[in-house]
Amino acid sequence: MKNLLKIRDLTVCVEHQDNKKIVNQVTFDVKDAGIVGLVGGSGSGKTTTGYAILGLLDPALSVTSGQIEYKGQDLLKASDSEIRKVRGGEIGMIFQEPLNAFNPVFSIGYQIDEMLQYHTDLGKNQREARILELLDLVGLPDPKRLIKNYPHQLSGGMRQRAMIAQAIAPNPDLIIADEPTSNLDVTHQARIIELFQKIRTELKLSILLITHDLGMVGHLCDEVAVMCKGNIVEFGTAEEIVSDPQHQYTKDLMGALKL
Amino acid sequence: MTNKPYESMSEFQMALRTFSRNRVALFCVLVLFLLYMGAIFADFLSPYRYDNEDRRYSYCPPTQIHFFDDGAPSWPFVYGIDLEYNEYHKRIYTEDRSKKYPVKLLMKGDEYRLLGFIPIKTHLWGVEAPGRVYLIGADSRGRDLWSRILYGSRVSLSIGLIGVFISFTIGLLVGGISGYYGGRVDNILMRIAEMVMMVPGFYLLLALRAAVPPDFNSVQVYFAIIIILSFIGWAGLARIIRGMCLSLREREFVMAAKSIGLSDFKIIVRHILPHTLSYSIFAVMLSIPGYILGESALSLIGLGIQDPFASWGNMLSDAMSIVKIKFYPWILVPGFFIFITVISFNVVGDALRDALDPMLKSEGQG
Repeated sequence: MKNLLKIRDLTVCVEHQDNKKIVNQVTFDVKDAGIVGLVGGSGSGKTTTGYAILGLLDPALSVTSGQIEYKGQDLLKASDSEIRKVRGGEIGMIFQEPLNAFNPVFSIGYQIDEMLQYHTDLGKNQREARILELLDLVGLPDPKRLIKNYPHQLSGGMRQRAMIAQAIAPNPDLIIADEPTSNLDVTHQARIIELFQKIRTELKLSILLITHDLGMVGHLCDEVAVMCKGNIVEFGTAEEIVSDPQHQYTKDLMGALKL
Repeated sequence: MTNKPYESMSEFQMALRTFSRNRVALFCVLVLFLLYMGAIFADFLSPYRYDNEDRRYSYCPPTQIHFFDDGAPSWPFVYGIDLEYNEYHKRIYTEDRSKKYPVKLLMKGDEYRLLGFIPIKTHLWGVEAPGRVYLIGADSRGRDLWSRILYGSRVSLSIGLIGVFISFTIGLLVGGISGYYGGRVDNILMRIAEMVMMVPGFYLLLALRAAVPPDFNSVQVYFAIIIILSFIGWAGLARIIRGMCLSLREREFVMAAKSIGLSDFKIIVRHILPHTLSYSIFAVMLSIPGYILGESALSLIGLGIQDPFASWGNMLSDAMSIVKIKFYPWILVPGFFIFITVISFNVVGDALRDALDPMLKSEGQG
């Protein structure tokens, strides 16, 4: 299978703290229609890696070396307008807490519409039909009313589904999901995992799943990269990692899961 | 969520409810509404045009409108005006009881264009030609003060709105850009804003007015004043909006907006600035009086709207002499209109702040 996203020797440093390395020589690939889990504890640099792909790093951080190649295009060398086409249109992002990631002053429908306005050429009526279709696809009831609702009027699980609907709206090829289930209870987590599996098979897109939850990784991912203190300490298929962890840090993570 | 629709009150509805409980503010809204209606239909509501003068009636006192003719109730009418000079050559106006001019409704008079388009001669009320009616008196050239107040309100009231619109557009954009980008951009923009704020407002006003060619016609002066006032007004707002944007840009939805590929300008205008809306609304209301007073001050000292065109400020310039105020107190009436306009805007602005700012509300009640 072809590689959709190739990350080579990605290094991210904090400029003001003696170039302390937050992400150190990270290398991995995301295959076409593959799901890669990026696993690690808090502060391991997994979210920073995800943000670096879309050029969304905090101004205090900078990529000092490496390549991020998406469909043959080096995103680190892309111009501002080029990378804005990639953001959303090619690579969607799902955030940990959709209550914060949705703008509270706009309705759900408006915010999905904004995505479609920018990344597609659809007319107003087509966009609305597409929004209803998307909300239905992610399993939200009564989409007609939902598009007029504001983020605070939805429950946590519904918001996360709406966020997924927004991310897949312009048919991206890759979705970066940053801890998509951390703020949900266990039953909702399971349903969101099912939803990810569904959109992956139906839309044939790749997912980069950033999480600390090895259990979720075992259910969903094809391959897993385990990160610790900015380094990838172990990379392999999900089965290998879950059934036979090699590195001590991975074993610790597995141990934490069994508690 | 159940099938029953969950509809809560929007922030706007809550604000509206709080606002409508404030009786004084509602009354002030009504006052402002009437004033603006008066400005829009000034030529219809006034018996004369702003430049309809009759120098025989210089500083003619208010004409009495009679409702009784020899003790019997009658359609309202006015008597003719007789002019004599006393031993000090002071003008003494008396009623000429031999002439009677009934007050006519929908009377034909000076031609004007209704709403700026429809040429029409009908005025709401007035008296037939040789008679003259001065509802609140005449100015030095025998022009009807009431008509001139209505015409003047067009200048005075519109300058506030247009000026605020321009300076808030600039203020919001500069503040938004400054707060969103931070760093050097912020530094440069804020230092410029501070340079504008550094000079005391009125002197800056005078200095900028001096930079405008003196031979401008009235329309040009009007727009020059608006631009000058807007130039002074944007800085304070920009600083506050900048502060709000500094904290707003750290919110996750800004990152989310970036992640869907929106440009920086769209993020500022569509995602950040709407969060400053409730502050902006009452800040607009509270700063309109500044523009009205600014125009009045310029016109008062003769640097604004020029005679024969009317504005409340240049009408008051007649009242700068204490002697005139003593003998013709009605020339102060434009000042009264400035006063109620400014008070009304302030009361409405305060009420809006109470209604829109939940933080302030809880502090006030707690």
